[in-house]
Amino acid sequence: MAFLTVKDISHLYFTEKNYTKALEEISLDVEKGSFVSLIGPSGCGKTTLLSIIAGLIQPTQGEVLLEEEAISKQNSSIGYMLQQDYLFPWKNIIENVLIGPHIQKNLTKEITEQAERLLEEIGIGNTKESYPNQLSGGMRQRVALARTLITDPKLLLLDEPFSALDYQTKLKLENLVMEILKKYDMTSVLVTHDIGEAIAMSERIVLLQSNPGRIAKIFNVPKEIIKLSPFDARQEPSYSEFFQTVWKELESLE
Amino acid sequence: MSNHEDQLLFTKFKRKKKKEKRLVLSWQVAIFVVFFVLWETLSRLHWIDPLIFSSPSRVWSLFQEKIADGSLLMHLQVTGFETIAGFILGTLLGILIATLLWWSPRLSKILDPYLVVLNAMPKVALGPILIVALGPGYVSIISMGIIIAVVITTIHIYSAFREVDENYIKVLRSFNASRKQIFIEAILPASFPTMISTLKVNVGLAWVGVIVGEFLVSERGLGYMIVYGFQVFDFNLVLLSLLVIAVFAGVMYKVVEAIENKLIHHKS
Ligand SMILES: Nc1ncnc2c1ncn2[C@@H]1O[C@H](COP(=O)(O)OP(=O)(O)OP(=O)(O)O)[C@@H](O)[C@H]1O
Ligand SMILES: [Mg+2]
Repeated sequence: MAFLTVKDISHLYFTEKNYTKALEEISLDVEKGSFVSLIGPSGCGKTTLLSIIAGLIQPTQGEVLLEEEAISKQNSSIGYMLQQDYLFPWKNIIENVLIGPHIQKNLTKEITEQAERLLEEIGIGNTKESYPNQLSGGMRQRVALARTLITDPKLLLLDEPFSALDYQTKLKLENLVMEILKKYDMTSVLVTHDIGEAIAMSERIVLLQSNPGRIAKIFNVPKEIIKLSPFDARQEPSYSEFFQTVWKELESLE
Repeated sequence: MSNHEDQLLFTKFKRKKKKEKRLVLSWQVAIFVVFFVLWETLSRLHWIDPLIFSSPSRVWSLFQEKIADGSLLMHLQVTGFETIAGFILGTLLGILIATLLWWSPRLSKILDPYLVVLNAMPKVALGPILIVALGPGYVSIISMGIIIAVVITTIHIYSAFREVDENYIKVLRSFNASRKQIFIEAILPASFPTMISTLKVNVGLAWVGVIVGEFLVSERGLGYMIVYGFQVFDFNLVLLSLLVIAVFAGVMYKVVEAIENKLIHHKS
């Protein structure tokens, strides 16, 4: 049995006058410690799927199991980084990062120090006392990443975490995040619109098509790329070849 | 650009700001002075009936007289207490009801039409019933202040609660936050600005409620002074009360504003 099982998920959004079918019969297994990326055209239901996996939306049909238990019955936290940062404007940066431990009532001195170190590592150590509106978009995104990582989640769900970053910072952070994931043996699902990022970071890439959101194809990333860090993966000869394959498939959907 | 030039620009900017501030203030003072001078002159020249509109000098001498015999202070104290009590209780009750409505979406759907009707109804019409039910004393007057403030407070604050971005709640729920934690960490602080603006509205509403209440009960207070002045046709008294009310409503408003500046520090 896989670590994370997504079983026949379909989801409809209802409004007063209408409904949208966002997802149709999505099934997916994710092994412990592995990294899966979701890519697909805008509006194909990536965020919806991620929210369902996080247990924040109840799907119209189907179920999500984490270690063979329904996601709604979980009490350990799932690290979910939303598409926008949603930092609390009335809390300063360190308070924002520590909101998870604060909610879970284990705000210890160690955690606080760990949070400070994490902020250092992702290059925004000097913003601790600032408020979110004093930070740039990319800095805010890094704070949101730290907020997600600090609770040490078994399952990490990332919704376009690097979209507001410049290329250089993005590469650096990809490497850093991969190191952290390896160290703590975290299982991750990443939503991205950047094919290169999906290839460099993940073991499998799930391509979704839209209206309604369905799995179009699942790619296994070549072994030699998986072994490398996200930065080095981009230099690997087979990288660009594989990029073309995924690109063509994505093109044919749009 | 050199550092020195930057500094110069900054000084210039500050000077401009200061000048603007001074200009606004001098206009404010000018309007104040012109108003009272005009009032006094027109009244002396009998362009307006001094019996009805009185004049600043007459109001002033009455003020001194009423201060000397201690009656003004007594009336002010009574009204001030009732207004502050009505204001605080009305606001708190409104926040409490809004919280309940947020807690139970079903309750809020059920109560929605009643809130709309209550809001549209002129609450002062309830005055006579209140006085008969609660007795002609400060309890019914404070209740008047509460009733006028509470419905609109509830409606405003509840809608602020609902307008909090769903995604903030998502963030907290991803950490397994309870409904109480969501309320304390996201809903309440996100609604602070609305609460403060409601507070400002309530200052005015509480005064309306209390003055109307005193009209009806007619025992003590600035509202009573107005009614009494009207009955014995002493409009000096009416205008004196009005001016005192204006000053104290302004002071209360300023206090609320000071609280606002203290609470919303992250919006520098
Ligand atoms: N709360 C909602 N109510 C109604 N419809 C919704 C809601 N959220 C999403 N949808 C619809 O569901 C579909 C999938 O949305 P979703 O946000 O999951 O797409 P996405 O793949 O994350 O897109 P993007 O890449 O632009 O972020 C879209 O058609 C969208 O309009
Ligand atoms: Mg999305």
